[in-house]
Amino acid sequence: MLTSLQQSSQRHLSDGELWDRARQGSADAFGVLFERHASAIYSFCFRRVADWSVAEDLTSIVFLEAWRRREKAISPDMVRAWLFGIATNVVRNQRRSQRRYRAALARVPREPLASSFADESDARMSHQQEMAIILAAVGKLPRREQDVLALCVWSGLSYEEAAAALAVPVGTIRSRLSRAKQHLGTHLAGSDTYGTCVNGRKDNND
Amino acid sequence: MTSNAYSRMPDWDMPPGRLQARRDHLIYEIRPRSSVASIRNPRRPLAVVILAGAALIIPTLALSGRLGLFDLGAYVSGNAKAPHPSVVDLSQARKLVGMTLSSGRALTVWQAPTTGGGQCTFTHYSEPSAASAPPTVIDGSAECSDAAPSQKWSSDQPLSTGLEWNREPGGLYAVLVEGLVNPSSQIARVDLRSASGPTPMAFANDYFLGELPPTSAAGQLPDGGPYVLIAYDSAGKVVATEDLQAAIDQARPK
Repeated sequence: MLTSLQQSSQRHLSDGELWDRARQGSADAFGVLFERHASAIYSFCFRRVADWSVAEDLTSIVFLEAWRRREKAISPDMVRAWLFGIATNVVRNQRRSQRRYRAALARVPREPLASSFADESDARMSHQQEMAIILAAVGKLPRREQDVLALCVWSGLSYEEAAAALAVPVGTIRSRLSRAKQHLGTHLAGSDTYGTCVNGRKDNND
Repeated sequence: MTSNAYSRMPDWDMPPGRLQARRDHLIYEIRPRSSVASIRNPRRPLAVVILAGAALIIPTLALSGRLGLFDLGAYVSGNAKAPHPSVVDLSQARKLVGMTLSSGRALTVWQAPTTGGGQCTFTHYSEPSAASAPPTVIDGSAECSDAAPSQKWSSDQPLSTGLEWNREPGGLYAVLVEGLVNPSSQIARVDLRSASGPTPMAFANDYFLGELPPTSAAGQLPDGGPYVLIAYDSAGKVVATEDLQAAIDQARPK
């Protein structure tokens, strides 16, 4: 009960304030960060692996890894981007990450899904198949371009956020994204919509 | 469909119940484990402390206050459980005792001097493969003194025992038994006897550790009791016994 009270009292805090508290050892503050960003990280991981179950485990790993690195000082408005950066690395080194946290993952409760989930489950399976096809095509791009595509276009990060996530200059993000779109056009003919990153805002139709 | 590769994709939530399960699991993994009462205060007679995560912090404080144990709140309530790392010389940490829990994790007890001439005794959870590696941080519970601890055993009881309940992700509570023996008692082994028979406790450097089956309620012993600690000397003679239920009843506020 005290835990929920502590978390409730922290839900109004900004990411930067929560991160500061997490750095001081507050698991509750970190729990609020998890609640706030888990779905985005989960969705990002899914887009990179096309497997809902694996994405769930990778999400746990991302936050466990973030906690492990909690001594790092982060710009208050870049906590979310930093989590995406960790997620990018966790996905890239998926097997190593899963090996490192194998014991922790073994302790995740495996609860049966609610029956009301059946309909949504069909949709997820369909989406999983679609994502696998997309990844097969995008997999022909250089890994660095895939990363920018997944961050900027699929997940809606700004140039600045993507730059913070990947620890590269903003100009590098721009150029990688430009090349990714060129390469993607070669691999996926007949496209109708391009997404891109903008300064601080996402635009799907530039 | 392939146009999705060029556009923002929607975010999905985890299936029902999974976000909460993953959050609980995360908190379980990152939250420093609670205290080992008798190790915090190793020269005390019997002390039973009930710890079951945040939900029982207040009862715990009340109980420990009644027993006059130690400033538990400073370690439990704020997550800042460890003393400032600069005062503890972890390079000189010495492992006292350790065991592998049923969860697969290793629980070890360490002792290290402080820069002020005192001493810290602390618990550390790790993967079993790392159980012998000196901790680089104090991430578990700790009991520290500013001065060198007294070597005088303050009780006529040969055992000083603590119990700890830690909530597991599945909702059950892991029950740990830990404590130390009077160094002059010649105790060489401590067993935990239950209905299923005796189980040897991890025992070294006068400290012992053991684990009971999980229970559904903090502060209660699991089925399969009575649970009794039996201490033997090197010749196999019983030196002391301790009924854990009686110890709990004795420690509860009246």
